[in-house]
Amino acid sequence: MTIDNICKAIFLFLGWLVFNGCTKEIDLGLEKKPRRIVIEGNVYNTPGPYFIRVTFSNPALSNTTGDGGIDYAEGIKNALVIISDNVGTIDTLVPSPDSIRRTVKFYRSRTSPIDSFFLDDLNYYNGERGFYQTTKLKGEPGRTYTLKIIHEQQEYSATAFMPLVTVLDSVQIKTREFIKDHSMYKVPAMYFSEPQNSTDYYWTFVVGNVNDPNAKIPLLYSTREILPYSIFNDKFLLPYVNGIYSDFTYTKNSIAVDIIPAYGFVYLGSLTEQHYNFLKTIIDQLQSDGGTYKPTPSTPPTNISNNGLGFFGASAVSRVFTFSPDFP
Amino acid sequence: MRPLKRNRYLIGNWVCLLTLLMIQNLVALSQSHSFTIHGTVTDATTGEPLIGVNVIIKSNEVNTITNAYGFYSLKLKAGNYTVTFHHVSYTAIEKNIHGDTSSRLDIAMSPNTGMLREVIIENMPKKNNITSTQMSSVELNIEKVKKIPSLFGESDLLKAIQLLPGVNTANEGSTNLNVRGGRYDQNLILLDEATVYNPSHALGFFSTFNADALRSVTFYKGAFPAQYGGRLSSVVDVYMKEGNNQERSVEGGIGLIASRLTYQQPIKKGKSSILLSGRYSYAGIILNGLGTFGQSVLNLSGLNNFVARNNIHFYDLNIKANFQLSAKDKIYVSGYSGHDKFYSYQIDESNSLDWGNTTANVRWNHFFSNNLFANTSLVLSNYNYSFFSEVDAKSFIWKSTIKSIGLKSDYDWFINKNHKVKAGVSFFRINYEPGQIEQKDSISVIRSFSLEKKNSAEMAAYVSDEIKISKKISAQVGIRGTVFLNLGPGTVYSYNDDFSVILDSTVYGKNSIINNYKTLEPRFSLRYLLAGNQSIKISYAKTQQFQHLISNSSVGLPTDVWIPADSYLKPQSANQFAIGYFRNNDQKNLELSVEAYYKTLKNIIDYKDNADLFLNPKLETQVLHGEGESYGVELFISKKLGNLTGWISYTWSNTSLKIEGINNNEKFPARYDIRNNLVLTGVYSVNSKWSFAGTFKFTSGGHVTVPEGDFSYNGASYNYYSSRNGYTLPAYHRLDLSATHNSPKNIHRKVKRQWVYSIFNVYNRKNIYALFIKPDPLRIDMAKSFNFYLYGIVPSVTLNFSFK
Repeated sequence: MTIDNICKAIFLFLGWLVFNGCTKEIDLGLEKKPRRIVIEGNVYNTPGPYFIRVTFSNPALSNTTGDGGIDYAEGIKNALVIISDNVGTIDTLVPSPDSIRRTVKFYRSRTSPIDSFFLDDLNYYNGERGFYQTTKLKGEPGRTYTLKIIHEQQEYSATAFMPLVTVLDSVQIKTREFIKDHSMYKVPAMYFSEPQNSTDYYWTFVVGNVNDPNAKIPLLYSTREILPYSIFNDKFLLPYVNGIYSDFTYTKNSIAVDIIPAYGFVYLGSLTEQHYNFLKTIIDQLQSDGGTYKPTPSTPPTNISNNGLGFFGASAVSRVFTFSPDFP
Repeated sequence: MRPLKRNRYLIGNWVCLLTLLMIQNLVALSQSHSFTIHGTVTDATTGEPLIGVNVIIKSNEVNTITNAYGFYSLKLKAGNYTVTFHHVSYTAIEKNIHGDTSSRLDIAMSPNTGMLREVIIENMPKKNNITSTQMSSVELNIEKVKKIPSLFGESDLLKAIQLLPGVNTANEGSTNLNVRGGRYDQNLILLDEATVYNPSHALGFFSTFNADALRSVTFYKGAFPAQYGGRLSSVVDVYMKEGNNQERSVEGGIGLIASRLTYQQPIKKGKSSILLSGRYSYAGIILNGLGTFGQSVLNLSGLNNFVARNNIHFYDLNIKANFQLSAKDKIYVSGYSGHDKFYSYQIDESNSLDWGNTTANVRWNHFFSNNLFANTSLVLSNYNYSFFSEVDAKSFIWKSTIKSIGLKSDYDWFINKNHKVKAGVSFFRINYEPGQIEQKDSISVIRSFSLEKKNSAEMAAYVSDEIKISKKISAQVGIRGTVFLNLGPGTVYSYNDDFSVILDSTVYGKNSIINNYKTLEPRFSLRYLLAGNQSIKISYAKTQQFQHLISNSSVGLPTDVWIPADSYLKPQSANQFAIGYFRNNDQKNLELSVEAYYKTLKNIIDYKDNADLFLNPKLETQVLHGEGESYGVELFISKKLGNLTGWISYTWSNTSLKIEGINNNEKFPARYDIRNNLVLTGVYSVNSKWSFAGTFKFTSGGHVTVPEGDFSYNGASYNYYSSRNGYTLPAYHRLDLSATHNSPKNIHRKVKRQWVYSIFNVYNRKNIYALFIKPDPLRIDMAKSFNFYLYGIVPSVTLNFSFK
């Protein structure tokens, strides 16, 4: 055996042994606990209706609620859902029609050239979805909104303040490198003045294939791999933000997707610190390393009372219509 | 007011006790006609001073032990004596002394070889572990550490310490030490008396200590001698080799992930020498190569997402020189520099890290008299890191530094056969730069920002006396006092009750005292000799820690930030009681100890859920305070001599924490609360050609926080959690083996070679490194738990070489 062959053999052996797999499934055998009420929904300063969803949680990690376009959450119907504001408006929400569906926001990827599709078209789940919508409420920055839900003699409530948002000056489409595989994808860059005398929290997202200036913000839909929005705060932002990306939030298994379709709106939204912390926690969960290099995992910090889960928020948005002329 | 009065009362008692002891000594001195022998004990082949040599007068059972610089002193009544110098790794030496005049007796001891071992056993009187008043400590033999099987064949001091009783670690693969219920930041790690703030390379997989450059390691997990302060849970006191002052020597090794080279040279034979030692790791290159190979040639499914863009490398550089200025004076100059670059796509694809430690030390040994030895040191420590965020528009560089400079002076006063006093003072100034960020390039939207720098001063004085009360009873009584000052410039905010609103702020000027802490730490241990090579020891130690490591991960990261105790973050403190039974079996050459301990921790910190620790100038708003409790029983059986050496260690322990604001304010187990910990390690020398070593470790599982269930938000599922660290992980176990081959041809070779073949994790156990819970991609109606494990079986080969 020559030295070369010995080296090859050692290398082969090491390669096989050291990297013979890095994950293994284990059974935690957890005890099943009672299920809890989950509430999600936002009030915006765009035309309504605004949606509130009421579902049950899944205890003991059985019957998971979603993955890759499937949403198994068991919705709650017959709940009394009321949103009021601090100027006297009281809006009792009505169940949403079956036509209400979440729009998947992924437009194109190099491995799966999807334009867009509707959740219900996949027909994975036909049960009650638990959506309710406002009838007259109008979102205004500076107002406080109170959500009250009554279900089976239990009352759940949450309060959300809608912070002001700075005005987006402009948006430019940029080409960006995806770190993982060096692939290039298109992403809008936002330009705006950042108020330096206040502490501000933002989120940003894109609604594509829409050009109606009065269009409502559709229900956002995400998977365990990609969130169709990203969040940031102004802690270290310069007074003039000269191009910060309105990108998705990616996880390790993500693939690069173009953020902007042929045309659409780029949104910059305001968040309260509490809302920002909630979104930050769910992002941390998606990017968890199992608790080694990241903090001990924790329940996303809810503003829902009575042991509820989820978050009720209010966000003012500023948006710019843009288009991507060379979109394939 | 009552606690203050009680404190003063206790202080008064201590002062009275120490004063009485001193008076007793003076009286004894004035009444006796005595003489003193003193000197240094060194290695005959290298000139290295030997620590812990037992110097024994056989006829009247008087003994003392050499200090960190090999110095000893014994005061005797006039007469004829036989003095034995004994060290477990050296051939014992006997000297006859006659007379009544003080004299210097320097000894050079030869390392053990072959048949000489029998002589040692025969002549060996009661050993240190029985006779010493010190308990809860272990001296590690560096040569034995090198023979313990290790990952990729890279000898690791801290991982060897993890094999001792009372030491747990929260994560597989990490060099962290959780000692008797303490956190990994509660260990005082000293290299030639300088603090090493981050003793790890490659995110904790390897320690900063290059075994080739080390002379001695003493590990204390309780009953800390009074000279040590500033950390709660353990002391790892490491000394570098001084450099061979007898002849030039070169040794080194070529390993799978690192190679090393050490050069020692007398400057003036027998008087002065220099040592240069370096280690360089090319772990990233190896990882990229193996990953690419496994992915493209072997088509391993586990490497589907492997990206060969890892940039992981580190180096260590040790340098030391010593100069014998006169018979009474010696100067040591030493330095260490270690640095890491770390980018791992698999761990964090968008950020990279640089970090490094630097220590420097100038020490002056001086014999004031034949029984008073002094060491004065100027010590510098520096730890800094840079964090590079590569996310284009938000790219930035984050930097942080902690540096300390100080002067300390320690005195060993060998008063007489009944009293050995150690005393000292120290002054350290510590500067903290908790963080600053800079724009990485012009496209970044990030503005530069810097957290307020912090400064502190720490002044300490201690005195301890090792008292021989009777033939059977000896005690060590000590006290350490510290004044800690938080110095300006700085801004202190005042808040409302829940820290959500700033009510006011106070600005302090440069070097003004923002706040201060004065503490007293009594240390006490007592030994009672029983018949038949047995003894019982008890100890108590109070320890204080004036620095907090701001870290929100279980394993610790280079980006963790050290900050001083301040108006809100109180100094941490611990009280530890221990009792132990010690027994030796000279026929079978075994040492046995059983120790039980109880330890309480106060003012330990944790963080609010979702705490914002990143460059937060108001960290106090994110921190929660609490306390901890740990107790356990440790069994240690070691065999230090013979062809088969090694130890069996077993620990049963329980560690719980109680933090206001976590787990509904109820007690919860620490992540590193590991109920059972069993270690068997051994080295068997078959002949001069082959030796074999093995380590088997079994521990109960640690604790992690797992979800109670999941819920849907925006269509994806997220977990919600119940009790903190409420889930006990499966047991951990691993077997490592190694074989060392010294060629018989080495006798004739100029360059002597040694091959070390090791297999880490022999039976391919997939021990949990991290736990993931996520939906099953194949059965989407089920969430599944996944164990992420670091490695399966890992074989390695290392070539060591040496020449003169």
